[in-house]
Amino acid sequence: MKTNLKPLIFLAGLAVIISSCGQGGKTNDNAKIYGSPEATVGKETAPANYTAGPVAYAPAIAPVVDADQVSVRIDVQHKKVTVADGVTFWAWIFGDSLPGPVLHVRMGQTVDFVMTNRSDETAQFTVPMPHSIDFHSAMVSPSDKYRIINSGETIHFRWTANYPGVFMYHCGTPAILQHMISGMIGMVIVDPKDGFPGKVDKEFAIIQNEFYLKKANDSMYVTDMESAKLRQPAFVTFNGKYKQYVQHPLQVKPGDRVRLYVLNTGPNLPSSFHVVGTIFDKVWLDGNPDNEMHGMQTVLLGSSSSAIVEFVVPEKGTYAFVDHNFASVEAGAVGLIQAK
Amino acid sequence: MKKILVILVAFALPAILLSMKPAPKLNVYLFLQADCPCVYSHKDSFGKLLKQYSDEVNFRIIFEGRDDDKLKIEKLLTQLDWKVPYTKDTDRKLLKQFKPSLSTDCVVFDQQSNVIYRGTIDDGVKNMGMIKYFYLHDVINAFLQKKPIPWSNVPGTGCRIV
Repeated sequence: MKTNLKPLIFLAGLAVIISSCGQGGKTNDNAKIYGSPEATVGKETAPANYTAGPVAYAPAIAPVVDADQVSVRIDVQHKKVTVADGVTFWAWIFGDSLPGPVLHVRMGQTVDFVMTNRSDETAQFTVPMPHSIDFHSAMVSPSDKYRIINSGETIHFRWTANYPGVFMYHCGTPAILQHMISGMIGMVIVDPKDGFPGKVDKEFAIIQNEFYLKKANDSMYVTDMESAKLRQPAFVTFNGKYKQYVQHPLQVKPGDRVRLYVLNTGPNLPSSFHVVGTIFDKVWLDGNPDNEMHGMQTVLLGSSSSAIVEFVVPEKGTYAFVDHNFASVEAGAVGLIQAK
Repeated sequence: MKKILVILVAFALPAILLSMKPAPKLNVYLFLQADCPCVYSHKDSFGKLLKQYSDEVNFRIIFEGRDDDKLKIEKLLTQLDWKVPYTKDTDRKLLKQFKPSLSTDCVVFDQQSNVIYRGTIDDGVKNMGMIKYFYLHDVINAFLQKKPIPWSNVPGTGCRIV
């Protein structure tokens, strides 16, 4: 008996092609959700806390909430921040620290976001200022969701995390450079639907930024737009403090697999992120596992670029992480990882 | 000699009168705090008005910041490239009189001190820089053309004057 298999082979091939469509590599790509209902702005009483939801301050990373929708609050305030010994200025910040909190969500989750501009709470010291927030992790109309709100106002809007990765958020109010050098920066980590592939022993969030400051009087500094325009920072820091991880290194163990979520918020300079004494055996550019590279000594991050880097701590010792643009190291972009 | 003088006056007087600019019919006060960067959003639009209407409008910047001093003010005006007179409203008389609420609010009033517009210069800051409504321009233009004033009060975005 002779059977004609050609139609069956054709159908099987077609089924394979159809089933592979829509699979975006390692990120469990699902249907994207574009846009969201119109943002609302009004006056509300602000709560005691400046943040709520799955947020933590770098290098810490909050656990992801297991839900399709997650409520997040990140308020704006003006606060005295110390960048280095004897260098304090009135910063404009998200949440309660500089940089702002690291928000941790999962791909497909919808963020129900609220932000109150509380810059009027310190009106006796700094001018109450209009502010806004621009999430690089969202796909929404900027003219609606990222609109500027005056002091005392609250904005609500939603966005859905369509892509995994490490993203920046910042204030988008003109002059944006002024708002960014005043401290209005932060990180969003979006996990793939099933989490990032592979297991690690330790993970840390590292946010690099530049400070442009000049002395105002004996006790205080102020931001300096002139040096910012010339791209001549006074400090370049990891997580907002000059050389903080030199005195207080990040702690790991020999043999640990370490994952760093690295974001360069700029606003002006690139970062050549490097860890002395090891090689990144896995790098996901912009934090997306679809963008995987191997065996890299340094990852080059432009302003608002990011990467997740993984490496094994080869043995007991102290490992420096730096921006290998060494002028930035002199300005503070150096930290230590201690393995003991 | 007397004859020559009379001839000179007879010829020169009309020329002098012709070259004299009419007194501005309209006043525009722009209220600022030197520490508030919101003014940079209106650098080009307000600068354009200064050039376009300098003969017909009396523009003045009123500084309301507690720490606004001459050095800070003149540095800001240089950065903005605005050639415009200013007043430091030390005793806040103008603030009380005209009641702006935000830095970058402007108040337009006529020679009898009747306020005809109070509010923002334009809406560029709400549209990512694109100006859809140039309120102050429309108000000035309508007044000078003796047409109905299209706007009386448009709230803006700026630092709260404290």
